[in-house]
Amino acid sequence: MATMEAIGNLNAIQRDVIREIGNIGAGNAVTALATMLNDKIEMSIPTVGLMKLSEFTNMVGGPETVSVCVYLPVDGEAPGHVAFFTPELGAHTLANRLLGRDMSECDEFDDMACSALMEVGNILASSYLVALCELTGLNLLSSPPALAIDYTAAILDSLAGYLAYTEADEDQAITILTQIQGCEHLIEGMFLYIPTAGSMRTMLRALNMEG
Amino acid sequence: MDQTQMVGMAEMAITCSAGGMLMALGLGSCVGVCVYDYQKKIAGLAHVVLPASGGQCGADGKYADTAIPALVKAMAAAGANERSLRFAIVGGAQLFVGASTGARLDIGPRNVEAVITQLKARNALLVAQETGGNSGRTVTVFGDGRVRLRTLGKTERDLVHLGGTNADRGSTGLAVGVHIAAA
Repeated sequence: MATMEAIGNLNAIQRDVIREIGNIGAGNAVTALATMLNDKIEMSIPTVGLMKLSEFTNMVGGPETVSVCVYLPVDGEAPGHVAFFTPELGAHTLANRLLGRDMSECDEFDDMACSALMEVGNILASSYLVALCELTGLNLLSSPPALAIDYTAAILDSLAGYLAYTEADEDQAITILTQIQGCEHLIEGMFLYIPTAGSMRTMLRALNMEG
Repeated sequence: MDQTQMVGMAEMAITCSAGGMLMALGLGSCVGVCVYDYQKKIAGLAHVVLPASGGQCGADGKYADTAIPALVKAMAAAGANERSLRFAIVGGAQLFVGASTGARLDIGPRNVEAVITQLKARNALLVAQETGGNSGRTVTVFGDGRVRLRTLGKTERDLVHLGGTNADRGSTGLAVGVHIAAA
């Protein structure tokens, strides 16, 4: 339980550093997405929070709204989790734009659409992690993406399961959340980075911000 | 007025009121363990996150091997008799598909297995189960023993009526996983 307290005890400067880590990562990811879509994508300033497992499902939108989520486990010197959430409509817009399809095609996610969305998640996550690698000098590796289309709450429930599984003694997780939007709000989404408590310390140490 | 009690991850709840409602919203890989004392009319629900505690401490409801004993204990504390408990389990899906799936992401099926092992060990009566697959589920346990299920893209339906007279015979026609009559 000592690690839990350590997260809660981040001082204001460390919290700012973590927010800046998120800012740089998301900035790089959003640039990659904007290049891919050849359009302007805006992002919010990341929020850094300590989230209890039991509160996890309340994090994004209404619990029974439908979301598309691309999830990638992060390995390497600072393991963690990366997930990109987008509401159903935003996901259709993204897939249609990338595949050069008619924008009104919103019936279902076929194999091509799923594949395109996984690639979006992959590129976003990779760009995010590359920025973090450059910043910290640490070696971070993203695993191949996995895709889910379901109730937002059910997706978060599964994510929390993975989280709890990798850090079974933790009942809470530090979350770095960035909102993105573009194409007149047709594309919107949320980028979630969850380093493990140990990784958080590793990164702060790499930046000489520990203590 | 009876209110719906939300049962978040790693939590559990009990209601003794006929109009009470316990709800686990959006179960993904987690398993909702529904329990009902059909004689005392007490309902319970636990939201299990992981299969085994491995000695870790944490919320009782978090792990299958601590949640089932804790749920039974809480039911008993509310006046229930373990011999008249009926169980139904929901969830344990694998929502994510892709190259990373495999051993790393199959927590859902392992949760289901662990819960069933726990129930078997107690000689518990598992009346209905709706588990596995790739879809999230929302489950509501009513104070009268009804278990209601909601899945994306499907009509909401009753899974089982744990208070019903025929529930122990699996007369709902739904999948009956473990079916060990209490001696």
